[in-house]
Amino acid sequence: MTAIARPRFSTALGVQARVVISLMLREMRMHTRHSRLSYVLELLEPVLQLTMMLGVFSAINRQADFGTSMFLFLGTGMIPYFTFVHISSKAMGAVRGGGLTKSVPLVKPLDLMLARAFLEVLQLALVMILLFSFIYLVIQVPDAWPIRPLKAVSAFVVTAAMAIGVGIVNGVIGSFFRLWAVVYGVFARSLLFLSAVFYVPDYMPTQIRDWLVWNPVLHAVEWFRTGFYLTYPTLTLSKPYLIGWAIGSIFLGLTMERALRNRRMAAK
Amino acid sequence: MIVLDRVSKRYRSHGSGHSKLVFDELSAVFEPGRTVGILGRRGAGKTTLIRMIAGAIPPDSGRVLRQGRVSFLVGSAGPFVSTMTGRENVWFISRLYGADASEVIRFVEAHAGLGTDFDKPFSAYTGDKRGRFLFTTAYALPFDIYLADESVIGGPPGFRDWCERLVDARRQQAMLVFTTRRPRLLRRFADTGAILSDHRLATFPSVRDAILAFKADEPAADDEPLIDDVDEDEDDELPVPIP
Repeated sequence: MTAIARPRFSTALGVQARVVISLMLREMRMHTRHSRLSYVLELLEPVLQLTMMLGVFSAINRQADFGTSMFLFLGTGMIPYFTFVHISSKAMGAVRGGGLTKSVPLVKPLDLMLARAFLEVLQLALVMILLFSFIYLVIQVPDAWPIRPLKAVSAFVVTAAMAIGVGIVNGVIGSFFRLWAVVYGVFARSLLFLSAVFYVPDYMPTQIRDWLVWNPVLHAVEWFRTGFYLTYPTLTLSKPYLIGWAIGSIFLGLTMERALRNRRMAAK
Repeated sequence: MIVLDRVSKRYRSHGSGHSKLVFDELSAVFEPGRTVGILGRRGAGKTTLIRMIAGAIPPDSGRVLRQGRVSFLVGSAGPFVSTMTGRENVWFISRLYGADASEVIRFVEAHAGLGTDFDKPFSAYTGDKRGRFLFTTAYALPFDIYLADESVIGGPPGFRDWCERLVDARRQQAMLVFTTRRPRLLRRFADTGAILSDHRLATFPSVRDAILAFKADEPAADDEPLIDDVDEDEDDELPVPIP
Protein backbone atom coordinates (compact mmCIF):
# COMPACT_ATOMS: atom_id res chain seq x y z
CA MET A 1 0.00 0.00 0.00
CA THR A 2 2.87 2.35 0.63
CA ALA A 3 4.17 2.02 -2.93
CA ILE A 4 2.02 4.94 -4.05
CA ALA A 5 3.37 8.24 -2.83
CA ARG A 6 1.45 11.49 -2.85
CA PRO A 7 2.59 13.88 -5.58
CA ARG A 8 4.73 16.78 -4.40
CA PHE A 9 2.91 20.04 -3.75
CA SER A 10 4.83 21.92 -6.43
CA THR A 11 4.01 19.22 -9.00
CA ALA A 12 0.35 19.31 -8.09
CA LEU A 13 0.31 23.10 -8.34
CA GLY A 14 1.94 22.88 -11.77
CA VAL A 15 -0.74 20.46 -12.98
CA GLN A 16 -3.47 22.71 -11.59
CA ALA A 17 -2.07 25.77 -13.37
CA ARG A 18 -1.70 23.84 -16.62
CA VAL A 19 -5.27 22.55 -16.45
CA VAL A 20 -6.78 25.93 -15.58
CA ILE A 21 -4.89 27.72 -18.37
CA SER A 22 -5.90 25.05 -20.90
CA LEU A 23 -9.51 25.37 -19.82
CA MET A 24 -9.37 29.15 -20.17
CA LEU A 25 -8.12 28.83 -23.73
CA ARG A 26 -10.76 26.21 -24.47
CA GLU A 27 -13.46 28.42 -23.03
CA MET A 28 -12.38 31.39 -25.12
CA ARG A 29 -12.32 29.28 -28.25
CA MET A 30 -15.79 27.88 -27.56
CA HIS A 31 -17.17 31.35 -26.90
CA THR A 32 -15.88 32.87 -30.11
CA ARG A 33 -16.96 29.82 -32.10
CA HIS A 34 -20.47 30.09 -30.88
CA SER A 35 -21.19 33.62 -31.95
CA ARG A 36 -18.71 36.44 -32.20
CA LEU A 37 -21.40 39.09 -31.90
CA SER A 38 -22.81 37.73 -28.67
CA TYR A 39 -19.30 37.66 -27.27
CA VAL A 40 -18.77 41.32 -28.11
CA LEU A 41 -22.16 42.20 -26.63
CA GLU A 42 -21.28 40.34 -23.47
CA LEU A 43 -18.07 42.32 -23.23
CA LEU A 44 -19.94 45.56 -23.71
CA GLU A 45 -22.77 44.77 -21.31
CA PRO A 46 -21.49 47.12 -18.58
CA VAL A 47 -21.14 49.88 -21.17
CA LEU A 48 -24.68 49.32 -22.44
CA GLN A 49 -26.16 49.28 -18.97
CA LEU A 50 -24.23 52.41 -18.12
CA THR A 51 -25.59 54.17 -21.19
CA MET A 52 -29.10 53.12 -20.27
CA MET A 53 -28.80 54.48 -16.74
CA LEU A 54 -27.28 57.69 -18.06
CA GLY A 55 -30.25 58.09 -20.34
CA VAL A 56 -32.66 57.72 -17.45
CA PHE A 57 -30.73 60.07 -15.20
CA SER A 58 -30.37 62.78 -17.83
CA ALA A 59 -34.09 62.49 -18.56
CA ILE A 60 -34.91 63.26 -14.93
CA ASN A 61 -32.16 65.89 -14.87
CA ARG A 62 -30.16 64.33 -12.14
CA GLN A 63 -26.69 65.59 -11.32
CA ALA A 64 -23.77 63.46 -10.27
CA ASP A 65 -23.61 63.10 -6.49
CA PHE A 66 -19.90 63.65 -6.66
CA GLY A 67 -17.62 65.22 -9.24
CA THR A 68 -18.75 66.90 -12.40
CA SER A 69 -19.30 63.99 -14.74
CA MET A 70 -22.30 61.71 -14.32
CA PHE A 71 -20.59 59.31 -16.74
CA LEU A 72 -17.52 58.92 -14.59
CA PHE A 73 -19.47 58.76 -11.35
CA LEU A 74 -21.66 55.94 -12.64
CA GLY A 75 -18.74 54.23 -14.37
CA THR A 76 -16.69 54.08 -11.20
CA GLY A 77 -19.69 52.59 -9.43
CA MET A 78 -20.59 50.19 -12.19
CA ILE A 79 -17.20 48.55 -12.75
CA PRO A 80 -16.73 47.16 -9.19
CA TYR A 81 -20.40 46.13 -9.11
CA PHE A 82 -20.10 44.30 -12.42
CA THR A 83 -16.81 42.75 -11.41
CA PHE A 84 -18.43 41.23 -8.38
CA VAL A 85 -21.73 40.14 -9.95
CA HIS A 86 -20.29 38.77 -13.19
CA ILE A 87 -17.46 36.75 -11.70
CA SER A 88 -19.49 35.37 -8.81
CA SER A 89 -22.38 34.20 -11.00
CA LYS A 90 -20.32 32.98 -13.98
CA ALA A 91 -18.15 30.83 -11.74
CA MET A 92 -21.35 29.14 -10.59
CA GLY A 93 -22.50 28.54 -14.16
CA ALA A 94 -19.22 26.84 -15.02
CA VAL A 95 -19.94 23.72 -12.97
CA ARG A 96 -23.61 23.26 -13.86
CA GLY A 97 -23.90 19.87 -15.55
CA GLY A 98 -20.20 19.32 -15.10
CA GLY A 99 -19.81 17.73 -18.56
CA LEU A 100 -16.06 17.77 -18.78
CA THR A 101 -15.37 16.59 -15.23
CA LYS A 102 -17.39 13.48 -16.00
CA SER A 103 -15.48 12.49 -19.10
CA VAL A 104 -12.04 13.88 -18.17
CA PRO A 105 -11.46 13.02 -14.51
CA LEU A 106 -8.27 15.10 -14.52
CA VAL A 107 -10.46 18.19 -14.60
CA LYS A 108 -12.05 18.96 -11.25
CA PRO A 109 -15.06 21.25 -10.71
CA LEU A 110 -12.79 23.76 -8.99
CA ASP A 111 -10.67 23.97 -12.17
CA LEU A 112 -13.76 24.81 -14.20
CA MET A 113 -14.81 27.48 -11.73
CA LEU A 114 -11.33 29.03 -11.52
CA ALA A 115 -10.87 29.01 -15.29
CA ARG A 116 -14.18 30.77 -15.85
CA ALA A 117 -13.53 33.24 -13.03
CA PHE A 118 -10.03 34.17 -14.25
CA LEU A 119 -11.36 34.60 -17.75
CA GLU A 120 -14.04 36.96 -16.44
CA VAL A 121 -11.42 38.92 -14.50
CA LEU A 122 -9.42 39.42 -17.69
CA GLN A 123 -12.51 40.43 -19.64
CA LEU A 124 -13.62 42.91 -17.00
CA ALA A 125 -10.14 44.40 -16.77
CA LEU A 126 -10.35 44.93 -20.52
CA VAL A 127 -13.82 46.46 -20.25
CA MET A 128 -12.60 48.72 -17.47
CA ILE A 129 -9.69 50.00 -19.54
CA LEU A 130 -11.90 50.52 -22.58
CA LEU A 131 -14.60 52.31 -20.60
CA PHE A 132 -12.31 54.76 -18.85
CA SER A 133 -10.32 55.40 -22.02
CA PHE A 134 -13.62 56.17 -23.73
CA ILE A 135 -14.67 58.58 -20.97
CA TYR A 136 -11.23 60.18 -21.01
CA LEU A 137 -10.76 60.51 -24.75
CA VAL A 138 -14.25 60.87 -26.19
CA ILE A 139 -16.25 62.53 -23.43
CA GLN A 140 -13.15 64.43 -22.37
CA VAL A 141 -13.36 63.98 -18.63
CA PRO A 142 -9.80 64.37 -17.33
CA ASP A 143 -10.72 62.69 -14.04
CA ALA A 144 -11.20 59.39 -15.89
CA TRP A 145 -7.45 58.97 -15.74
CA PRO A 146 -7.16 57.60 -12.16
CA ILE A 147 -5.32 60.06 -9.99
CA ARG A 148 -4.25 57.27 -7.66
CA PRO A 149 -4.10 54.22 -9.98
CA LEU A 150 -2.76 51.91 -7.29
CA LYS A 151 -5.91 52.38 -5.23
CA ALA A 152 -8.19 51.65 -8.17
CA VAL A 153 -6.18 48.57 -9.12
CA SER A 154 -6.00 47.19 -5.60
CA ALA A 155 -9.75 47.75 -5.15
CA PHE A 156 -10.34 45.85 -8.39
CA VAL A 157 -8.08 42.98 -7.35
CA VAL A 158 -9.68 42.60 -3.90
CA THR A 159 -13.16 42.80 -5.41
CA ALA A 160 -12.25 40.11 -7.96
CA ALA A 161 -10.83 37.91 -5.20
CA MET A 162 -14.02 38.24 -3.17
CA ALA A 163 -16.08 37.51 -6.28
CA ILE A 164 -14.10 34.33 -6.95
CA GLY A 165 -14.62 33.21 -3.36
CA VAL A 166 -18.36 33.89 -3.47
CA GLY A 167 -18.46 32.23 -6.90
CA ILE A 168 -16.97 29.01 -5.51
CA VAL A 169 -19.46 29.05 -2.63
CA ASN A 170 -22.24 29.59 -5.18
CA GLY A 171 -20.95 26.79 -7.37
CA VAL A 172 -21.01 24.32 -4.50
CA ILE A 173 -24.50 25.37 -3.40
CA GLY A 174 -25.70 25.40 -7.00
CA SER A 175 -24.66 21.82 -7.62
CA PHE A 176 -26.98 20.68 -4.82
CA PHE A 177 -29.71 23.23 -5.27
CA ARG A 178 -30.40 24.00 -8.92
CA LEU A 179 -32.66 26.96 -8.20
CA TRP A 180 -29.80 28.77 -6.49
CA ALA A 181 -28.75 30.40 -9.78
CA VAL A 182 -32.15 32.13 -10.00
CA VAL A 183 -32.16 33.11 -6.33
CA TYR A 184 -28.66 34.51 -6.61
CA GLY A 185 -29.55 36.30 -9.84
CA VAL A 186 -32.36 38.19 -8.13
CA PHE A 187 -30.10 38.97 -5.20
CA ALA A 188 -27.32 40.19 -7.48
CA ARG A 189 -29.66 42.50 -9.41
CA SER A 190 -30.91 44.09 -6.21
CA LEU A 191 -27.31 44.66 -5.14
CA LEU A 192 -27.20 47.40 -7.76
CA PHE A 193 -29.31 49.59 -5.49
CA LEU A 194 -27.44 48.68 -2.33
CA SER A 195 -23.92 49.19 -3.61
CA ALA A 196 -23.57 52.96 -3.93
CA VAL A 197 -23.42 52.75 -7.71
CA PHE A 198 -25.39 55.98 -8.17
CA TYR A 199 -25.09 57.66 -4.81
CA VAL A 200 -22.49 58.49 -2.19
CA PRO A 201 -23.12 56.53 1.02
CA ASP A 202 -21.69 59.27 3.20
CA TYR A 203 -24.48 61.59 2.05
CA MET A 204 -27.19 59.12 3.04
CA PRO A 205 -29.19 59.42 6.28
CA THR A 206 -27.51 57.62 9.15
CA GLN A 207 -30.20 54.99 9.68
CA ILE A 208 -29.95 53.86 6.04
CA ARG A 209 -26.17 54.09 6.02
CA ASP A 210 -25.90 51.87 9.09
CA TRP A 211 -27.56 49.08 7.15
CA LEU A 212 -25.82 49.68 3.84
CA VAL A 213 -22.32 49.37 5.28
CA TRP A 214 -22.79 45.64 5.75
CA ASN A 215 -22.75 45.21 2.00
CA PRO A 216 -19.16 44.43 0.93
CA VAL A 217 -19.76 45.57 -2.66
CA LEU A 218 -20.44 49.07 -1.31
CA HIS A 219 -16.94 49.11 0.13
CA ALA A 220 -15.60 47.87 -3.20
CA VAL A 221 -17.21 50.81 -4.98
CA GLU A 222 -15.99 53.30 -2.38
CA TRP A 223 -12.45 51.99 -2.50
CA PHE A 224 -12.44 52.04 -6.29
CA ARG A 225 -13.66 55.64 -6.34
CA THR A 226 -10.88 56.84 -4.05
CA GLY A 227 -8.56 56.01 -6.94
CA PHE A 228 -10.35 58.53 -9.14
CA TYR A 229 -11.51 61.30 -6.79
CA LEU A 230 -8.98 62.92 -4.48
CA THR A 231 -11.60 64.24 -2.05
CA TYR A 232 -14.16 61.44 -2.13
CA PRO A 233 -15.74 61.12 1.33
CA THR A 234 -14.74 57.78 2.84
CA LEU A 235 -16.30 57.88 6.27
CA THR A 236 -18.02 54.53 5.63
CA LEU A 237 -15.17 52.85 3.77
CA SER A 238 -13.52 49.95 5.56
CA LYS A 239 -10.84 48.18 3.54
CA PRO A 240 -10.23 45.47 6.15
CA TYR A 241 -13.92 44.58 5.93
CA LEU A 242 -13.69 43.97 2.18
CA ILE A 243 -10.38 42.13 2.47
CA GLY A 244 -11.91 40.04 5.24
CA TRP A 245 -14.80 39.16 2.97
CA ALA A 246 -12.39 38.18 0.19
CA ILE A 247 -10.29 35.91 2.40
CA GLY A 248 -13.31 34.56 4.24
CA SER A 249 -15.28 33.70 1.11
CA ILE A 250 -12.32 32.01 -0.58
CA PHE A 251 -11.65 30.00 2.56
CA LEU A 252 -15.30 29.04 2.95
CA GLY A 253 -15.62 28.19 -0.74
CA LEU A 254 -12.58 25.93 -0.80
CA THR A 255 -13.62 24.26 2.45
CA MET A 256 -17.12 23.57 1.18
CA GLU A 257 -15.75 22.31 -2.14
CA ARG A 258 -13.42 19.87 -0.39
CA ALA A 259 -15.86 18.73 2.26
CA LEU A 260 -18.71 18.08 -0.14
CA ARG A 261 -16.70 16.93 -3.18
CA ASN A 262 -17.64 13.28 -3.06
CA ARG A 263 -21.30 13.88 -2.40
CA ARG A 264 -21.37 16.45 -5.16
CA MET A 265 -19.72 14.18 -7.70
CA ALA A 266 -22.12 11.39 -6.80
CA ALA A 267 -25.04 13.78 -7.28
CA LYS A 268 -24.16 14.38 -10.91
CA MET B 1 -0.03 0.97 -10.62
CA ILE B 2 -3.59 0.95 -9.38
CA VAL B 3 -4.72 0.01 -5.89
CA LEU B 4 -8.35 -0.48 -4.95
CA ASP B 5 -8.58 -0.59 -1.20
CA ARG B 6 -11.83 -1.91 0.33
CA VAL B 7 -13.99 0.05 -2.08
CA SER B 8 -17.75 0.07 -1.51
CA LYS B 9 -20.39 1.65 -3.67
CA ARG B 10 -24.15 1.69 -3.52
CA TYR B 11 -26.58 3.33 -5.92
CA ARG B 12 -29.74 4.73 -4.43
CA SER B 13 -32.73 5.47 -6.57
CA HIS B 14 -34.87 8.53 -6.01
CA GLY B 15 -38.08 8.25 -4.08
CA SER B 16 -38.62 4.51 -3.93
CA GLY B 17 -35.90 4.05 -1.33
CA HIS B 18 -34.51 1.04 -3.15
CA SER B 19 -30.80 0.82 -3.41
CA LYS B 20 -28.48 -1.42 -5.33
CA LEU B 21 -25.18 -2.60 -3.97
CA VAL B 22 -22.50 -2.41 -6.65
CA PHE B 23 -19.23 -3.06 -4.79
CA ASP B 24 -18.80 -4.52 -1.34
CA GLU B 25 -15.32 -3.92 0.08
CA LEU B 26 -13.74 -4.65 -3.25
CA SER B 27 -9.94 -4.78 -3.19
CA ALA B 28 -7.40 -5.33 -5.94
CA VAL B 29 -3.86 -4.38 -6.90
CA PHE B 30 -2.80 -3.99 -10.53
CA GLU B 31 0.95 -3.94 -10.95
CA PRO B 32 2.65 -1.57 -13.40
CA GLY B 33 3.20 -2.85 -16.91
CA ARG B 34 0.31 -5.30 -16.85
CA THR B 35 -2.68 -5.45 -19.13
CA VAL B 36 -5.69 -6.23 -17.04
CA GLY B 37 -8.91 -7.49 -18.57
CA ILE B 38 -11.90 -7.39 -16.23
CA LEU B 39 -14.76 -9.71 -17.14
CA GLY B 40 -18.28 -9.12 -15.95
CA ARG B 41 -21.84 -9.93 -16.86
CA ARG B 42 -24.37 -7.29 -17.76
CA GLY B 43 -25.15 -5.11 -14.80
CA ALA B 44 -22.20 -6.37 -12.76
CA GLY B 45 -20.89 -2.80 -12.46
CA LYS B 46 -18.18 -2.83 -15.12
CA THR B 47 -18.72 0.76 -16.20
CA THR B 48 -18.93 1.94 -12.61
CA LEU B 49 -15.66 0.15 -11.83
CA ILE B 50 -13.70 1.53 -14.76
CA ARG B 51 -15.02 5.04 -14.18
CA MET B 52 -14.12 4.75 -10.52
CA ILE B 53 -10.58 3.75 -11.51
CA ALA B 54 -10.53 6.76 -13.83
CA GLY B 55 -11.61 9.00 -10.96
CA ALA B 56 -14.94 10.11 -12.41
CA ILE B 57 -17.02 8.36 -9.72
CA PRO B 58 -16.05 8.52 -6.05
CA PRO B 59 -16.42 5.40 -3.89
CA ASP B 60 -18.78 5.57 -0.91
CA SER B 61 -16.00 4.23 1.24
CA GLY B 62 -12.51 2.89 0.65
CA ARG B 63 -9.74 4.31 -1.48
CA VAL B 64 -8.66 4.23 -5.10
CA LEU B 65 -4.96 4.99 -5.56
CA ARG B 66 -3.27 5.53 -8.89
CA GLN B 67 0.35 6.04 -9.82
CA GLY B 68 1.04 7.64 -13.18
CA ARG B 69 -0.90 9.58 -15.75
CA VAL B 70 -4.35 8.05 -16.09
CA SER B 71 -6.25 8.36 -19.36
CA PHE B 72 -9.87 9.20 -19.94
CA LEU B 73 -11.89 6.27 -21.25
CA VAL B 74 -10.42 5.32 -24.61
CA GLY B 75 -12.88 5.81 -27.46
CA SER B 76 -15.28 8.07 -25.54
CA ALA B 77 -16.29 11.33 -27.20
CA GLY B 78 -16.90 13.14 -23.91
CA PRO B 79 -13.63 15.05 -23.78
CA PHE B 80 -14.15 16.54 -27.25
CA VAL B 81 -16.10 19.66 -28.10
CA SER B 82 -18.41 19.22 -31.07
CA THR B 83 -18.08 22.80 -32.32
CA MET B 84 -14.30 22.75 -32.43
CA THR B 85 -12.30 21.15 -35.24
CA GLY B 86 -10.46 17.87 -34.83
CA ARG B 87 -7.15 19.71 -34.79
CA GLU B 88 -8.30 22.14 -32.09
CA ASN B 89 -9.68 19.31 -30.01
CA VAL B 90 -6.40 17.40 -30.18
CA TRP B 91 -4.51 20.57 -29.31
CA PHE B 92 -6.62 21.24 -26.22
CA ILE B 93 -6.64 17.69 -24.91
CA SER B 94 -2.84 17.53 -25.36
CA ARG B 95 -2.39 20.78 -23.50
CA LEU B 96 -4.72 19.62 -20.75
CA TYR B 97 -2.68 16.48 -20.16
CA GLY B 98 0.63 18.30 -20.55
CA ALA B 99 1.64 16.46 -23.72
CA ASP B 100 3.58 17.91 -26.64
CA ALA B 101 0.64 19.18 -28.69
CA SER B 102 2.45 19.48 -32.03
CA GLU B 103 3.73 15.94 -31.77
CA VAL B 104 0.29 14.53 -30.93
CA ILE B 105 -1.29 16.52 -33.77
CA ARG B 106 1.33 15.19 -36.20
CA PHE B 107 0.60 11.62 -35.08
CA VAL B 108 -3.18 11.95 -35.41
CA GLU B 109 -2.86 13.72 -38.76
CA ALA B 110 -0.61 10.98 -40.08
CA HIS B 111 -2.54 7.97 -38.82
CA ALA B 112 -6.23 8.78 -38.39
CA GLY B 113 -6.63 9.27 -42.15
CA LEU B 114 -8.97 12.24 -41.85
CA GLY B 115 -7.45 14.32 -44.62
CA THR B 116 -9.00 17.76 -44.82
CA ASP B 117 -11.73 16.78 -42.34
CA PHE B 118 -9.16 17.22 -39.59
CA ASP B 119 -9.91 20.94 -39.85
CA LYS B 120 -13.68 20.52 -39.84
CA PRO B 121 -15.85 20.62 -36.72
CA PHE B 122 -15.88 17.40 -34.75
CA SER B 123 -19.68 17.22 -34.99
CA ALA B 124 -19.40 16.84 -38.78
CA TYR B 125 -17.45 13.56 -38.56
CA THR B 126 -19.16 10.44 -39.83
CA GLY B 127 -19.14 7.23 -37.79
CA ASP B 128 -15.97 5.80 -39.32
CA LYS B 129 -14.01 9.01 -39.12
CA ARG B 130 -15.22 9.61 -35.59
CA GLY B 131 -13.98 6.19 -34.51
CA ARG B 132 -10.62 6.63 -36.20
CA PHE B 133 -10.22 10.07 -34.64
CA LEU B 134 -11.22 9.02 -31.11
CA PHE B 135 -9.00 5.95 -30.90
CA THR B 136 -5.97 7.48 -32.61
CA THR B 137 -6.11 10.54 -30.35
CA ALA B 138 -6.53 8.53 -27.16
CA TYR B 139 -3.54 6.30 -27.93
CA ALA B 140 -1.50 9.22 -29.27
CA LEU B 141 -1.45 10.81 -25.81
CA PRO B 142 1.36 9.58 -23.57
CA PHE B 143 -0.46 8.00 -20.62
CA ASP B 144 0.97 5.57 -18.09
CA ILE B 145 -2.40 3.90 -17.65
CA TYR B 146 -4.91 3.53 -20.47
CA LEU B 147 -8.47 2.72 -19.47
CA ALA B 148 -11.18 1.33 -21.73
CA ASP B 149 -14.77 0.35 -21.17
CA GLU B 150 -15.50 -2.48 -23.63
CA SER B 151 -14.01 -0.59 -26.58
CA VAL B 152 -10.26 -1.22 -26.51
CA ILE B 153 -10.13 -0.77 -30.25
CA GLY B 154 -12.66 0.64 -32.66
CA GLY B 155 -13.27 2.26 -35.99
CA PRO B 156 -13.82 0.66 -39.39
CA PRO B 157 -12.47 -2.88 -40.11
CA GLY B 158 -9.32 -1.84 -42.01
CA PHE B 159 -8.38 0.55 -39.22
CA ARG B 160 -8.91 -2.01 -36.46
CA ASP B 161 -5.84 -4.07 -37.42
CA TRP B 162 -3.62 -1.03 -37.20
CA CYS B 163 -5.35 -0.01 -33.96
CA GLU B 164 -4.62 -3.44 -32.49
CA ARG B 165 -0.95 -3.07 -33.30
CA LEU B 166 -0.97 0.40 -31.78
CA VAL B 167 -2.45 -0.99 -28.57
CA ASP B 168 0.25 -3.67 -28.51
CA ALA B 169 2.90 -0.99 -28.90
CA ARG B 170 1.43 1.03 -26.02
CA ARG B 171 1.28 -2.07 -23.83
CA GLN B 172 5.06 -2.29 -24.02
CA GLN B 173 5.42 0.87 -21.95
CA ALA B 174 2.11 1.46 -20.25
CA MET B 175 -0.64 -0.26 -18.35
CA LEU B 176 -3.95 -1.05 -19.94
CA VAL B 177 -7.04 -1.81 -17.88
CA PHE B 178 -10.31 -2.64 -19.60
CA THR B 179 -13.67 -4.09 -18.72
CA THR B 180 -15.64 -6.35 -21.02
CA ARG B 181 -18.12 -9.19 -21.14
CA ARG B 182 -16.39 -10.86 -24.06
CA PRO B 183 -13.61 -13.30 -23.15
CA ARG B 184 -12.24 -12.92 -26.68
CA LEU B 185 -10.94 -9.45 -25.86
CA LEU B 186 -9.01 -10.84 -22.88
CA ARG B 187 -7.47 -13.55 -25.02
CA ARG B 188 -6.27 -10.96 -27.48
CA PHE B 189 -4.98 -8.20 -25.19
CA ALA B 190 -4.77 -9.14 -21.52
CA ASP B 191 -2.01 -10.76 -19.52
CA THR B 192 -3.94 -10.63 -16.25
CA GLY B 193 -7.56 -11.62 -15.91
CA ALA B 194 -10.15 -10.62 -13.34
CA ILE B 195 -13.81 -11.31 -12.84
CA LEU B 196 -16.26 -8.83 -11.43
CA SER B 197 -19.17 -10.64 -9.84
CA ASP B 198 -21.11 -10.59 -6.58
CA HIS B 199 -19.82 -7.08 -5.80
CA ARG B 200 -16.22 -8.31 -5.63
CA LEU B 201 -13.29 -8.55 -7.98
CA ALA B 202 -11.42 -11.85 -8.26
CA THR B 203 -7.98 -11.64 -9.86
CA PHE B 204 -6.48 -14.62 -11.67
CA PRO B 205 -2.82 -15.22 -12.38
CA SER B 206 -3.54 -16.33 -15.93
CA VAL B 207 -6.07 -15.15 -18.47
CA ARG B 208 -7.01 -18.75 -19.25
CA ASP B 209 -8.07 -19.44 -15.66
CA ALA B 210 -10.12 -16.27 -15.62
CA ILE B 211 -11.97 -17.18 -18.80
CA LEU B 212 -12.60 -20.74 -17.63
CA ALA B 213 -13.93 -19.52 -14.30
CA PHE B 214 -16.07 -16.94 -16.05
CA LYS B 215 -17.61 -19.53 -18.33
CA ALA B 216 -18.05 -22.09 -15.56
CA ASP B 217 -19.93 -19.52 -13.57
CA GLU B 218 -22.84 -19.55 -15.99
CA PRO B 219 -22.37 -22.28 -18.58
CA ALA B 220 -25.84 -21.99 -20.07
CA ALA B 221 -25.37 -18.56 -21.53
CA ASP B 222 -22.68 -18.26 -24.12
CA ASP B 223 -21.88 -14.59 -23.88
CA GLU B 224 -19.87 -14.28 -27.00
CA PRO B 225 -22.03 -12.41 -29.48
CA LEU B 226 -21.68 -13.02 -33.20
CA ILE B 227 -21.84 -9.34 -34.01
CA ASP B 228 -19.54 -6.80 -32.43
CA ASP B 229 -21.89 -4.61 -30.46
CA VAL B 230 -19.20 -2.38 -29.12
CA ASP B 231 -21.37 0.58 -28.30
CA GLU B 232 -23.92 -1.40 -26.37
CA ASP B 233 -23.55 -1.16 -22.67
CA GLU B 234 -26.41 -1.21 -20.28
CA ASP B 235 -24.49 -0.18 -17.22
CA ASP B 236 -25.20 3.46 -17.97
CA GLU B 237 -28.83 2.91 -17.14
CA LEU B 238 -28.35 2.37 -13.44
CA PRO B 239 -30.75 4.36 -11.28
CA VAL B 240 -29.73 7.90 -10.56
CA PRO B 241 -28.16 8.09 -7.10
CA ILE B 242 -29.47 10.46 -4.48
CA PRO B 243 -27.09 13.36 -3.79
